[in-house]
Amino acid sequence: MSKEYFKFLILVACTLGACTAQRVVKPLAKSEQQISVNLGGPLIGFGSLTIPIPLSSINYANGISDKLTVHGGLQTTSLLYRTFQLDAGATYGLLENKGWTPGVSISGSINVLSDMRERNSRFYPQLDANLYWDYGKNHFMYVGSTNWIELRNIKAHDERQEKRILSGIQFGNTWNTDRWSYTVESKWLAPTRSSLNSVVDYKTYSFGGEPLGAVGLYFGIARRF
Amino acid sequence: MKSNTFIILLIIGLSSCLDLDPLLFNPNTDIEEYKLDDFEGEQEIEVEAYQVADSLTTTFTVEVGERKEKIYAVYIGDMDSITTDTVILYLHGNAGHIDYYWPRAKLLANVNGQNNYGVLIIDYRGYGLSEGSPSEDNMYEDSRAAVSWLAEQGLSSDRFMMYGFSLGSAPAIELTAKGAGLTPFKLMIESPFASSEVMVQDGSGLSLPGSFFTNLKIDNAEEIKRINQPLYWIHGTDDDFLALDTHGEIVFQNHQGQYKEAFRIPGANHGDVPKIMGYETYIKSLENFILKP
Repeated sequence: MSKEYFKFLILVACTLGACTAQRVVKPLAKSEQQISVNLGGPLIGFGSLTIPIPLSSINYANGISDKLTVHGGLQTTSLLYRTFQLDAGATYGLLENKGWTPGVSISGSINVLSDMRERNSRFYPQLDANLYWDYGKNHFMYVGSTNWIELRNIKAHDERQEKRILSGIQFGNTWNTDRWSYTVESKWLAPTRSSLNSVVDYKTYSFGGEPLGAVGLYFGIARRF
Repeated sequence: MKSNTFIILLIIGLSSCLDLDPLLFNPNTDIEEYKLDDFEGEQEIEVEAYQVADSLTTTFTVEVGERKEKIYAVYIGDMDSITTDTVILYLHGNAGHIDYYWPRAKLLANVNGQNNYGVLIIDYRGYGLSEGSPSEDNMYEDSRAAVSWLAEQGLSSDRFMMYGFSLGSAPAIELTAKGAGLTPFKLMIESPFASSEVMVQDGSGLSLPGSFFTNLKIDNAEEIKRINQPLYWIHGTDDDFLALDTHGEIVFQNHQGQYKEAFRIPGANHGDVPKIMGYETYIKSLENFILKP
C-alpha cells in the first residue's frame, strides 16, 4: 500500500490515542467556568519539516469547588472522518503549591468513541496526575503523566492485547491574564514502546538508536468567565 | 438558541465532509505510455540480469465495469500458447503502475528459466493509463477481469497461479478464496497486510476498530482461512510499513491449507524483499515452491 497516504490515515488514528493536551491541570475557582480550544499533536516528518499534527478539540470546564473541577471535551478533528470522540471527567486538587512544594492534582476521565460508519464504539478510562508550580505574576508550569487504560483483552484477529496502559509524560506552561489563558505543552506518548518499525515517521526521542513513542506539541487558549 | 443550532449544524456538517478512503490509494498516472524496459522513473528494484524477450511482451486493454472502462495489462509470454502454458497473474501494490513493477514481473518470468511461465500484470482502474478511479471493489473487479481474460485465452485452473504484493495480496487472497472463474492451484503473497484494523491498531496503540477511519473491508487475515491451496509467503523482518509480526505473521498463521512455505527475510523492508533476499535465491525459492508436487 501507499506509505504516504496510509500514513495520513494513521496520523488521524492518533487523535484517538491520547494525543491531546491536558484538559485541566490546576483546578478552577468555585463557580468559575472555562471554554478552551486545543490544537496540536505528535511531531512528524512532513517533507523536510517537522510539524505537529494539527489536531483540534474544544473543551468546557466548571469549578464545582475550589478543589474540584469537572470538564468535558470534543475532538473536532475526528468529526471530519465521521468518528465522535467525547471525554468527560474531573480534576481534583490534592495539594496547593507553596514555594518549591508543588501543587498536586489528579484527574479521572472517560473517553467515549463511536463511528458513524458501522456504529462501533470504544470506551477508555483515563487517569492523569500533575505537579504544578506557580511562578512570576501569572504563570504556572506543570509536569505529569497521562494514562489511557485498555479494557479489551483481545485486539484484531483475536490476538492477545498485551499492553493495557497507554501512557504519556507531559510538561507545559500556562500564562494567565485576567480572563484568558495560553498554554504550551509537550507530551511524550508511549515512551516505552518502540516506534522503530512504525508506519508513521514520528520525530521522537531515541535511545540506543531505537526511537521510542511519539513526542507531541500542543497549544491551548482558554477563556474563563 | 441560534448559536446552539449553528454549532449542531457545524458538527453534523463536519462529520460528513471528509472521506479518507480515496486517500488510501496512491495511483501514479503521470505517464503517457508504458515503457517497460525503457522506463526511467522510480523503481524499488532493478533486475538488469533478468530479461524477457521483447517479442514475448504484449500490452493490451480489457474492458471492465458497467462503464466499460479500459484497464491496461501486459502479458509476458506467447499469447498463442496460453492454452498449454502455466501462467502467473501478478497483482501489484498501491504505489505506481505497471512500469514501476515491471522488474518484479520480469523476475517471475524468469522462474525456472526465461519465459518458462507466462506472467500477466495489470493496472487497476485509476493506475497508470487505466481509466476510472481506484477503489476496493474496482480492484477486485479488475483482477477478476484479468482472470476472465486468461480463461478466455484457454488457461485452466491447474495451470493458473496468483502472486499478490502488498495491496495486491488483497485481490489475490479474495479471488483465491471466493473463486473467479479460474481457481489458482498455488498462491504466492509478498509483504501482505492483515487488515485495515491491524493498521489502525498498530498506529494508535489501542484496540480501535478499522471502521473508525475507513470503509475498507479488506481482511486478508480472515479471508485466508478459506484457502486450501499451497501458500508461498514472504515478508521482510524490517518492514516499517506492514510490520512482520502484526501483519505478515498472522496471515501466514491463519492459512489452513495442508502446505505452506514461509520466508522471513532478515534486513528486508517493505518493497525490497527480492533484492535483499538475492534475486537468484528468490527465483529459486519460487521455482521450488511451484514445482513441488
